[in-house]
Amino acid sequence: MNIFGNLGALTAVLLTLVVFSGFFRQNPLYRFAESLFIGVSAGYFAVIWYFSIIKPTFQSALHGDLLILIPLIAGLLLFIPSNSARLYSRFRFLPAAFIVIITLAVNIPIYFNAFLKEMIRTSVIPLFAFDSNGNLQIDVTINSLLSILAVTSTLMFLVARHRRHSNFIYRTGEIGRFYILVAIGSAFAYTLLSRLILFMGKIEFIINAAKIRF
Amino acid sequence: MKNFIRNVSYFLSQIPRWGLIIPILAAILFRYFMIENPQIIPEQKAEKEVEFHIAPTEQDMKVLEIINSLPRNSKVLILVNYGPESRYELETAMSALIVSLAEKNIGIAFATMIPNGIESAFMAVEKSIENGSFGKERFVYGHEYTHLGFIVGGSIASYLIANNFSEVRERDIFDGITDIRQPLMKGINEISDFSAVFEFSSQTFDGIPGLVSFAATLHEKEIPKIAFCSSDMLPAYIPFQNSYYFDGLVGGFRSLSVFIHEIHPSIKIERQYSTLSAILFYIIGLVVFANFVNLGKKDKR
Repeated sequence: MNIFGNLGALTAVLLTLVVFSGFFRQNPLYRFAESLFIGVSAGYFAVIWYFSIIKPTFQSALHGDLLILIPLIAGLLLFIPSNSARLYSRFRFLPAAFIVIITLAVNIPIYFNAFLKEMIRTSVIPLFAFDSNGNLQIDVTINSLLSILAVTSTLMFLVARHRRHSNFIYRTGEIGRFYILVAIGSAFAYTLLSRLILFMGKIEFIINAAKIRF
Repeated sequence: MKNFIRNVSYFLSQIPRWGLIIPILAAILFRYFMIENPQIIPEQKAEKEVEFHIAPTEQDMKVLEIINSLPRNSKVLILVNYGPESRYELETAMSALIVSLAEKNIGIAFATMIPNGIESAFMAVEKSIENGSFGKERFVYGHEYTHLGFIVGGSIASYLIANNFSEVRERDIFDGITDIRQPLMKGINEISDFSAVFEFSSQTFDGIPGLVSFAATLHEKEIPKIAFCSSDMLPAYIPFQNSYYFDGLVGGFRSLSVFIHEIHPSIKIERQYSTLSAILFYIIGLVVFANFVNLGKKDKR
């Protein structure tokens, strides 16, 4: 593939370089690339939403599936202008309430199972791990014990931080605070790593493009 | 010892920052261009092999075992929930998986819960076909793979996929009615007709990983589930690693590199991994250097 024969790749390289120019200072080219990116993204999303949702929905309605009219009407209700003096303006809350209720109905069991029950279970079990020969796996056991300490101390910190409690609860809560800081720090480090890989990928893309050309 | 550190930091604080940053950066670039990627220079065409020292962990082996044990000619579902922001992390792993599945003649149905996922799936397929070791002469849409499109609703979408798959599979991304135009989808009426479900993800839905909400609403249907996530999603996925929501997790660049290396050694990830390690060491060096300089400046004051 010749990069200069491929307009798309050339545009991508140029736009990447233009976006990188924003590292130094704001310039008209960077602002142009920024606006272009927002415009293209909006266009792409509009097309995807149209072909994935709007078009199939109307096709179903035209083929006699009139149930589809209910969400259509509910969607249109959201556009009712806000005017508290008018009775009809209250109808716009109906679809919003429905969305909230359905989302909660689906998410609450998932949250309960995933974030409470299952996460605590996996922190505790197995508390003492043994290998196939029946020997205690010290590393896994220490990991389990640390996990229990992390879960209980973090919960203690979150629950009891605004109240005056005994010295024990306060100290345990401080351990929990340490764990929270470690969690935030590791999340930040992982995000940084992810962005670095993205940056590296872009550099590699430019190098490969230049390699093909020269 | 304390005085020694102070003296060093004071010495460093006297040198302009760029005087140290530029040589370190130059050393990294030199390593990348001259040693790791010498074919950039026209005279040196031969690629130098970069060794890969990382051994797969128990979790990595578990994932490989599940993939290797998938029956030939079966069908799998891949949820593509990543966009361009994680393309460089996840695309190579996904194309390695596609190559591996295609070798066993396993049909692939893609679906996505984010709009960007549509393009990501097709780009990964393209990358797989471009790979020199791709075993199949023909990899035809509708026969070997298909795309069921963007399924809207976040965690509600995963509920639909898990419990009402016949609704999801009605039409593909090109508006083709699956029964008529998609031979691949024949015999797939519910989610348990797939031999495995994979998720490639760089985001969560309402704070919950896509595969977790999928598995939580699956209601005791036995189907292997494997999650692949980008580095920034690891804190969201790791807590579920030993739960019944996943049978395997490949998360972060390290695990992804090991996975690619093990499942398809012909796909070269070693160089990328080595360069990233060098860049990370460079950043750590910069952080340490900046702290040394700050220490020296404080002493000066």
